[in-house]
Amino acid sequence: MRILIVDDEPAARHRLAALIEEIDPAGFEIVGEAGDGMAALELARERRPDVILLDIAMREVDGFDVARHLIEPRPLIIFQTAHHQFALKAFDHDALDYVVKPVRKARLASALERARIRLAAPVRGRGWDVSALAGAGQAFGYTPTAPARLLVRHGAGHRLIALRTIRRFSADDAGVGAHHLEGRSLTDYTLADLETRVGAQFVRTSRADLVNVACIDHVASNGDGSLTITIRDDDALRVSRRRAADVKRRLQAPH
Amino acid sequence: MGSIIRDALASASPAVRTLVRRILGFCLVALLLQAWDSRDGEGAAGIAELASVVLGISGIGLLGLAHSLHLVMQDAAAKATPGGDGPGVQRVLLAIPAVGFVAGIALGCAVLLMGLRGVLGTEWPLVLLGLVLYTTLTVLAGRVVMGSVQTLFDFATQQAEAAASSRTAATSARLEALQARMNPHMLFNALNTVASLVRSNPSAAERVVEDLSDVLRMGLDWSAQPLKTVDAEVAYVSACLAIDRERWGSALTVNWNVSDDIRDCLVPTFLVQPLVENALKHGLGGRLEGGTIGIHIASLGSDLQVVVEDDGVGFPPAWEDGVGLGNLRQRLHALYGSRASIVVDRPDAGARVDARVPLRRSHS
Repeated sequence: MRILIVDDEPAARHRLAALIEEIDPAGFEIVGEAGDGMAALELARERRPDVILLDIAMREVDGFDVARHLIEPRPLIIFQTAHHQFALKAFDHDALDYVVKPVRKARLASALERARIRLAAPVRGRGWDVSALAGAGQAFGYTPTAPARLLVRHGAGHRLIALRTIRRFSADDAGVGAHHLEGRSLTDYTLADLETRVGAQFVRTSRADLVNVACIDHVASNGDGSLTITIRDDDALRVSRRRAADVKRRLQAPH
Repeated sequence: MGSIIRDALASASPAVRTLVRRILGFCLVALLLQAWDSRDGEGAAGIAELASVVLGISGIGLLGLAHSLHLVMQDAAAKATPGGDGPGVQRVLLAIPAVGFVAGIALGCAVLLMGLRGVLGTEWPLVLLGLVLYTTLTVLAGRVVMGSVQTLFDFATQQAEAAASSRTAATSARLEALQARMNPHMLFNALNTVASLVRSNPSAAERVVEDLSDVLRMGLDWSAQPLKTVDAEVAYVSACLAIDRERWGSALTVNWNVSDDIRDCLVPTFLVQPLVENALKHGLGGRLEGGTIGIHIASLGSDLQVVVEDDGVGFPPAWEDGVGLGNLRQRLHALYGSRASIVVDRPDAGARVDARVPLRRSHS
C-alpha cells in the first residue's frame, strides 16, 4: 500500500514514517512526504498514493483544500487532527478516516488496516465524493484562516493565485472561474464555499458573481432600486434590488 | 447641598430649569410682598401672620424644588452607568428627601401657625383656606419624600446589580482568555510536537516540555489575577512563542522590543498574548512562507502602549474582531472603561494592533 505523509512539522512527518515502518515494513511503502498543501497535491498527482495521511491545520493550503483538489482516482484519506470531540459522529465515512494527535501507533495501525481492506474491494467501491467533506471542518472544530492566495486549476494540476489580483468569481456551466490578471481560471470551489472562505474581501452581487470589493470602481443607481457596478478592467454588472443594500453596505465599510 | 442642587439642575432639561426658576422667583416675590404687607402688624397676631406666611411660602418653594429635582433625577438614575456618573447622581438623590423633609416641617409649622392665627382672631375663611392649603402641601411633601427615597433605593439596587454583573463579566472574560490559551488544539499540537521530537531531537523535545509546563503553570496561576507585571506577561508570551516556533521552524521570526522602564508596570493578564495569537493565526497563518512578528511595549504619556505587528496577509478589509480580540476588548473595558483602547491598523502588508492601557507601576 502506497502512503503519502502530509504534515507541516518535519519532526511529525519523521515520526509518522517511523511508526508506519514499525507497523508493517513489508506491506506499507511511503512514497513521499510533503510539508505543505501544494507539495501534497503535486506529490499526489506524481506518485499516485493509495492513502494520504493528511494534516488538517496547515498554513495557506490546508488539509481540506488538499482533499478537495485531489484528482481522480482519489486516494483514501486519513486526516490527522488535534481536535476530535465532534468528529466521531459527524465524520463517519468509509473512505475518509481520521487519527488524533499525538497519533497512537495502535490507532494508526487500525486506520491503515481499514484502508487496506477498503482498497481490496472492487474498484467501483473505493471512490469518494468531494461533497463528503462538507461540514468536515466543523466536525473537527476547525476554522480555516482567510488565505492570501487561492488554488485554481492550471493545466493538469493547480496553482496559487494572489487573492487581491482576483477581480471576481463567476459561475457558469463550465464551473466557477476566477477572473484575474491573466484571464479566467476554473476553481474547484463552489461560490458558496468561496463566500465563506473569502467573504471578508468579496461581496456576492448576484447568484453567479462574487466580486472583489477593492476592485469595484464605480457604482450607479438604476433608479429602480437595483445597481450597476463597474469592475476594474472588467464588465459592468447589474446588482438586483435584493442584493443592492448588502453591496452598498460593504462598499461603505472601511477597506 | 447648594452645589449638589446646582449640579443636578445643570443636567436637567431646560423646561425643568425654567420651572424651578419660576417657583423660586414666585416664592421670593411673595415673601417680599408679605414682609412689606406685614410691616405694621402688631403683637402676637402680627408675628404669627408673618411667620405662617414665611414658613408656608418657603415650604412651597422647597417642595417645588424637591419635586422638580425628583422628576429630573428619576430619569438620570435610570440612565446612570456604574462607575460613571453614579456617585454624583447618588448625592443628589440623597439631597432630595432632605429638601422634601425641610419643606414638610416648614409646611407643618405653617399649619400650626394658621391654627394659632384662628385663635388669635383672624377671619375664619382665611384660616380655613390656609389650613386646607398647607395641610394638603404637607401631605404632598410627605409623598415627595417617600417617592424620592424609593428612587434612591431603586437606584442603589440597580447600581449594585450593575457592579456585580460587570464583575461577573470581567471574571468570565478572564476565564475565557485562559481557556483560549489552554485550548485543546494548542495542548494537543504541543504534545504532538513533543511526541515527534522525542525520537528525532530529544533535547528539543525537552525544551518544548519545559515551555509547555511554563505556559500551563503561569496560565493556571493567573486565572485568579486580573493584573500582572509586564515582565511576567513577556515571559508567558515568550514560552508560548517558543512552542509555536518549534512547530513553525524558521518560518517564524519574532522581534521583541520592551522598554526597561515599564517592565514592572501592571498590565491586564493576557494582554499581549491574544494580540500575538491573532498575528500568528490571521496574519501569518494564511501564508505559507510564515513571516515576522514585532512586539513593542513602551510607555506613551500616561499610557502603556503595546504594539503587535506582522508582515503577513493582513486582516481582510471587512475585519471583525475574532474571539481573542473581542474578549480582550471586553476585559479592558471592564477594567478601565474608556481609558483603554485597541486600534487595528492595516498597512499595505500585514497588520498592526495598538493597545493602550493606563500606566500603572506595581509598587504604587
